[in-house]
Amino acid sequence: MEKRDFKILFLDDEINDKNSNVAELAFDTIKKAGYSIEAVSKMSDVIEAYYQKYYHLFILDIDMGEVKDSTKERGTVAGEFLKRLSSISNVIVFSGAGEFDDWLHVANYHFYSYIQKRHGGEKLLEVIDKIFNDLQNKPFVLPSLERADHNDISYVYNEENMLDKQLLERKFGKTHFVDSLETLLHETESSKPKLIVIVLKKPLCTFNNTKRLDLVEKISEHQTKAKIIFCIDNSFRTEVDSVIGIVNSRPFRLLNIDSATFESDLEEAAAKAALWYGEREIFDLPEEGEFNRKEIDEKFESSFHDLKWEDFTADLLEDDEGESDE
Amino acid sequence: MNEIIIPDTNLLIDLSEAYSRRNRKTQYIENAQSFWKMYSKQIEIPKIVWSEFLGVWFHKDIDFETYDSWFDKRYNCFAQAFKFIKELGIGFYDEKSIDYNTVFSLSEKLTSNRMPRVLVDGLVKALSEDIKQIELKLNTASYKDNLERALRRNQRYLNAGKMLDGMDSLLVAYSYVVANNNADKAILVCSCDKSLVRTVNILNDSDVGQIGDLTIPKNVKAQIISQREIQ
Repeated sequence: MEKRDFKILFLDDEINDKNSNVAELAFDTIKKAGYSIEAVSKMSDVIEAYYQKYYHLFILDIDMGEVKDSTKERGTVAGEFLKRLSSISNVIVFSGAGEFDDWLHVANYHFYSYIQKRHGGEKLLEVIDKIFNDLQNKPFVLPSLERADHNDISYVYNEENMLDKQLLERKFGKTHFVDSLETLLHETESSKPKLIVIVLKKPLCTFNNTKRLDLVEKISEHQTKAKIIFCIDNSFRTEVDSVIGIVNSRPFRLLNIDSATFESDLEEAAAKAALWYGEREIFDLPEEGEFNRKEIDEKFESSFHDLKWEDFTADLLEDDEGESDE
Repeated sequence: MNEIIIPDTNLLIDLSEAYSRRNRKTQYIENAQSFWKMYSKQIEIPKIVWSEFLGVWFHKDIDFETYDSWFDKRYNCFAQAFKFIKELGIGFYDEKSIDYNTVFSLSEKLTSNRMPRVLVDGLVKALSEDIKQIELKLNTASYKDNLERALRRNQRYLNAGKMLDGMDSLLVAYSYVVANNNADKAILVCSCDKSLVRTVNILNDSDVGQIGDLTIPKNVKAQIISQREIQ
């Protein structure tokens, strides 16, 4: 595949804004690199485009707060659409907005990457190149009913005993504790853990020192074999680069220890991870009765109201008579 | 007696299709899910069934013009079906004890003109009886659409002469090998395909004791799962 065949849809409400040129510069950078890119300024245009044409990648300037609001309640069009997109396509969020809680929330929807606008178009291009190369070099793997090949042990790095050891053992079954990220990397390279749990107390990166973040990225390369769950607390609120670093290592889950629902979140993560087959997570779709267009977040475009639930279901198959021949 | 339930490919296709239907979505999903929910502890999927399912689902009725979009939408339905059965804890039949040479050889014997003749006679008789029954009902029924469709379908089966087409003979042979390896268990083959179900049950009720070297096990039965008729 040539770069010109790699189709990108770029959503940014400032794309035609003469006072802000970040989006325009990023757009031009991608275009000059040879990719086929189209721009739209409304989320509803993205949805419309999705159903009319195939895109390999969606770059969305969306406010993390709005994403969180729309995904936390099942049934909103925008939320379901974003979940659907991240289940089956590549999504990069390219945004200037977003706070700690938002990043945590949307990390669990497995968007491909989160790039803050301040990092500019070059950073964006770097990630696009990676997706483009992966598309050509990494095979697409369908989920399989084969039993997962692992040693049935969860490997845990519990920095400075942030979490109660017994709680971790209770949630994750057979547990092997390691005393450093280096050990974790070393041990997961030569074994097949059921799960990897990383509980962090200290930031991953400080000015001029990204060693710990590099280690996490290397460990995360194992996530198709093992599922990585990160646990951090509110002290990370001011550590934007560390949090974005974790988000971009594409963990299975990123949980806030200080959240009121932490224990149940941890339980849900352990249960879901046990079923996960190692590629994209499959999200629930809303049942018919749960879908209510009236609840659409008003922060999103009003043209969402024109969309019907049927637009979100693939009408692939004609009704036929009688029993299947297969 | 413990049971092993072997699903046919069409049940997996029905389940995936259910996620793609418009309007009657919930009803379709509930109908398609009910079989899997009801027998989740007993169902074991043969790898040949999964393989046929993937082939049919991703390599049939393709829209070549918009292949990538088509694939994404198909994958969406597949992923929902996969998630559903995975969460029920359903997996592959453990095939360590399956001798595929025996399966293939038996499958060949079931499809040649050396097959037990009782199969042909039994299928013709069953279809003719079905047609007669439907015709009788048609005389008195007030709502005839479904019956007329069923009549056309059965007439088509009789005229077109369908028996164990596609992978069906392989699945029947597979179920016999599973049954012989699990003499203490009842094996139930479930399908939307009447011909397959009837073949298994006709052989089971017949005096045919042997096909080639293989003794026909008496612990295999088949059952029709007619989700589509619930429409």
